[in-house]
Parts: sequence; structure tokens; C-alpha cells
Amino acid sequence: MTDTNQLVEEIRLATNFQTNKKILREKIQTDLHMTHNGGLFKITPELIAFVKTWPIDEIYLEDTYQNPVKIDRQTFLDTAQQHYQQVMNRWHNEYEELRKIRKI
Amino acid sequence: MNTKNLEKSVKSRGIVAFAANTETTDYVSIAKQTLTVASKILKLPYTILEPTTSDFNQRYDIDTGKFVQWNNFNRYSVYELSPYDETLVIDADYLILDKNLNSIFETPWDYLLQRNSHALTQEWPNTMGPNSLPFVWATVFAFRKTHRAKLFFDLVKRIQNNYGYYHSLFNIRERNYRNDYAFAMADYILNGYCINTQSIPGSMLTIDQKIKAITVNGAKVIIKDEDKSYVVPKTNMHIMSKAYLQSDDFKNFVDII
Repeated sequence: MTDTNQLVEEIRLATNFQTNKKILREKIQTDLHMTHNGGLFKITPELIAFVKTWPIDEIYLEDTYQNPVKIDRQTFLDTAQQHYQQVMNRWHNEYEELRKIRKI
Repeated sequence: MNTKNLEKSVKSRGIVAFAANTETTDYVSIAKQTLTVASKILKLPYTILEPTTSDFNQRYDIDTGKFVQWNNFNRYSVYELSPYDETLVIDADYLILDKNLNSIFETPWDYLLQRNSHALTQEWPNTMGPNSLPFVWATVFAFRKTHRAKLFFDLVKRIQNNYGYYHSLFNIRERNYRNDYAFAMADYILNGYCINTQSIPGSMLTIDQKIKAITVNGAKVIIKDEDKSYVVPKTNMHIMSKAYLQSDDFKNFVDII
């Protein structure tokens, strides 16, 4: 491939940043789901904040399937925080890579 | 009966896909490749099933712009034909690239459908007709061999056999039989004529255009069509271009994964 062709190919790649960004976000929204005690939860900042501040250790949370699931507050919190951190880090890294491609 | 032991017994789990070759498409070869990838990613065994009928329906082929043969009938027979207690069913053109589907088996359900989908080049309608049910995608679904799951597939059979009636009843836009529609109707009826909220988590990515090449670069997948390139994460995707799925480029892609 000549330099010009390579450049054209890269510019074409760059024009789709908004689509790429949208598709990446959809994937991350799926990855934010986590199973716990037979329930499926989408881990959000709101859920983490709620569980962290709740004063009782044993709680029932509504999962994505609209079922109440019994959880141990601290165990759930630890797992959820770890999961959230991992997924959001990956989102940031992959998003930065998409931005670099856009700058070409 | 000692139910405690039953609960602890190891259940078999696997992936199945239906495949029947047509005049234009080698579905068996495509299914072998996509199932090989799925099996490697999810670490589950797979089985290719032959449709129980030789009747053909039609589908619009995005590569040629023509209607071509397609055997999408009798998907309800998967309940009887699957050798597994817990089955993940995928269309031959569904490519599994991440492990998310493994986690669905950690939650209780009888059957689980894919309710959301997004495409690279267009917005899908939300409903199956102007005054119809929300879309359901039969491209990927899961079931356990339970009484309720059997009822679901029995209903799909009834809907397929009386499609003209159900098509009118639910104001479906297209006249052509689609499992997406039959599944949505059966699910709605079985759920007491209410919309079911249980779903495979997330939205299914559909590559809805002609494809020239797909390459993997680390955690990224680069999809090239005739005009543009798209950089997407390693995620499960429904590839509509059968011409690409039969190409050498796809064979190389499968070898690399």
C-alpha cells in the first residue's frame, strides 16, 4: 500500500469516531453487569453509593430481572467496586485508543 | 425425592446452531467456524443441528440485493434436539468474541432472549410494526429443559403453524415468517400478555452491511466495509454478510482468534 493510500485509509478510519465511541459504550454497558447470589446487577455509581451507605449488613436488592436478591452488604460492595473499577479502566483505555486513531 | 442432590448435580451445558445449506450459502461451513470460535471463547461444547424440515423460506441478502433461500423453520424443535440441559442457541452468523454469555447461566430463568440490538449503519425500529410488540432477536437465546421452556417452544410451534393468524393479531409489519416475531409473540403470551423484562444483558451488535475484511488488533476489532472502517471492541456480533462469512478472510480471522 502506498503512503497516500495508507493516509486515505487512516482518514476514513478517523471519520467514524462517533460510531466507534457509541459501539464501545454499548459494550461497556453490557460489561458492567455482574451476577451475585443468583441475581444479575448492572453496577452503577448510584448502586455502589447506596450499598456503601446502607447501615444494615443484610439487604435485599432488586436485580436487573426485577427480583429481590439477598446480599451481604460488604461482600457485594467489594465485588461490585472491583468489577466497576475494572470495566471503567478498560473503557478509559479503549476510549483513549479510539481518540488517538481520530487524531491521525 | 432428594431434591438437594438434584440441585447439586452437574448439568450439561453447550452451544447449538441450526445449519442447512442452500443454493447460495454454505451455512454448515459458516456454523462450523462460528461455533468453533464460540466454543473456544466460552469453553463449552457445541453441536450443529439440521433443521427438521427441508422447506425453505426467503431472506434479503445484503451482498447481492436479492431474496435468497433460507431454512429458518422449526427452530422450536431445539428443545427436543439439543443434547444439553442448558443450551445457548446461536444463528450460524452470530460470532461470539467475549465471555459475557457464560454469566447468564449463573441466574435463574427457563429461557432467555436477546431484546436489544444496535447496528453499525442504521437504527433498528423498536417494535415489530407500528402498533406491535417490542422487537426480540432470535439470533441468540438460551434455555433450560424445564416445563416453562417447553411451553415456550410449543407456543412458537403453534405460531409458526398458524402464522397468518398471529401475524394479523399482533400487527407485524413484514409478511415473511421470522423467528424473531414468533419468539416475541410466544414470550408475550406466556408472560400473561405482558412484556417480559428478562433478557440477555446488553445490546447485540449487528454488522448490517457488506464486509470486506475483519481484523483483530489487540483488544480492538477493525471492520472494513466498502467505504469505511470501524473500530469496535471485542464483542459478540451478528454478521449479516454471508459472502464475507464464506470468504478466506473470515477463515483467517477464525484461525487467529
